[in-house]
Amino acid sequence: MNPYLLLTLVSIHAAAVTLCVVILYFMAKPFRATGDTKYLGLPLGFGFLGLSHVLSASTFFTPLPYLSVVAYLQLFARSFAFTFLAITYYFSGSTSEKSRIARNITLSILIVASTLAFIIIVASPWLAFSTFQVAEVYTRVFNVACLVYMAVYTLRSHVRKPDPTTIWIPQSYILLAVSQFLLFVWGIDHSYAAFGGAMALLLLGLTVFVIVSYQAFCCTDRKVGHDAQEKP
Amino acid sequence: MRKRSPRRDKFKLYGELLSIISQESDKEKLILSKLQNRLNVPYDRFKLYLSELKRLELVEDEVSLKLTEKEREFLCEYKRIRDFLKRIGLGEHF
Repeated sequence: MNPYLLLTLVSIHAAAVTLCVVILYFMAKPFRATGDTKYLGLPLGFGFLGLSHVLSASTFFTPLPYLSVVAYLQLFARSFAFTFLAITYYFSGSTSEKSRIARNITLSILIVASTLAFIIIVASPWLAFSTFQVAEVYTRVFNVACLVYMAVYTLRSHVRKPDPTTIWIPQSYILLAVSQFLLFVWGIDHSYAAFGGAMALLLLGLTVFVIVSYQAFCCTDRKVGHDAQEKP
Repeated sequence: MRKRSPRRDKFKLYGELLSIISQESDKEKLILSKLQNRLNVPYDRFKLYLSELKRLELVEDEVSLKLTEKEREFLCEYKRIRDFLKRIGLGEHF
C-alpha cells in the first residue's frame, strides 16, 4: 500500500480512537455518579467503538493469516458498540422495577455475548474467514438501524422539549448513520469517495459528541448560580 | 387520577433535596415540612435522607441544614450530569 495512504488511514483511525476515549471519559460520569446500570451502556458503547477503530488500524499491520480474524473482531466490536448505545436509549424511558430487571438481563446477555463472540473468532479463525463478506453486510445494516433508532429517539426528545442544546446529538447520530451507510456502499463498490465520506462523517459525528460533552461538563459552572433558582 | 411520579434513584433524590435546600437557604428559617413537601416524599423517609446527608457531610447538621463545601461540589456535579443527560437525549427520565 502507498505509504501516504497508509499514514492517512492510520491517522483517521487514531483520531477516531482519541475522540472515543474523550467521549468515554464523559460518558462514564453518569454511571460513576449514580451507580445505575441505566447509564452503563454509554461508556461500554463508546469503549467498544474505540476498540473497533484500534482493530481497524491494526488490520494494516496484521500478517495475512490473521487478517480476517482482526477484521471480524472490529466488525463485531462496532456492532456491539451501537447495540449498547441503542439499549441504553431503549430502556431509558421506563423507571419501573420490571424494566430495570429487563435492562440488567439484556446488558448481562450482551456482555457475555460480546465476550463469547470474541473468544469464538479468535479460537476458530476459519469460521471468520469463510463468512466475512456476508457478516459485513448484515452488521453494517444492523449498525445503521441502531443509529437511526437513536437519532429518532433523541430527535423526538428534542421535539417534545425544544432546546438549542439538545439538537446536536440527533444530528451526530445521523452523521454516524450516514457514515455506516457509506461504509456499506464502500463494501459493495470499493469507491474511495464512499470510504472518504464515511471517515469524514464519522470524525465529524464524534467531534460533535466531544463538543456537546465538553460544554455540559466544562462550561456549566457559570450557570450553577442561575440554575439554583429553578425548580428541581 | 394523579399520575404517579417516576421512581428516583438516590443520586437524583439527594440532588433534588440539596437543590431545594440551596434555594431555601437564603430564607431566615428553614421549615422542614415545606422542604419535605417540595421533595414529595413521606416525612420519615425525608428525615432518613437528612441523616444520610449529614453522614455524607453534605450538610453541617440536620437542624440548620447549613451547606458544606462538599455539598456545593456535589450540587455542581449533579447539575452537570443532569445537563449532560439532557443534551444527549436521556434527561427526560432523570
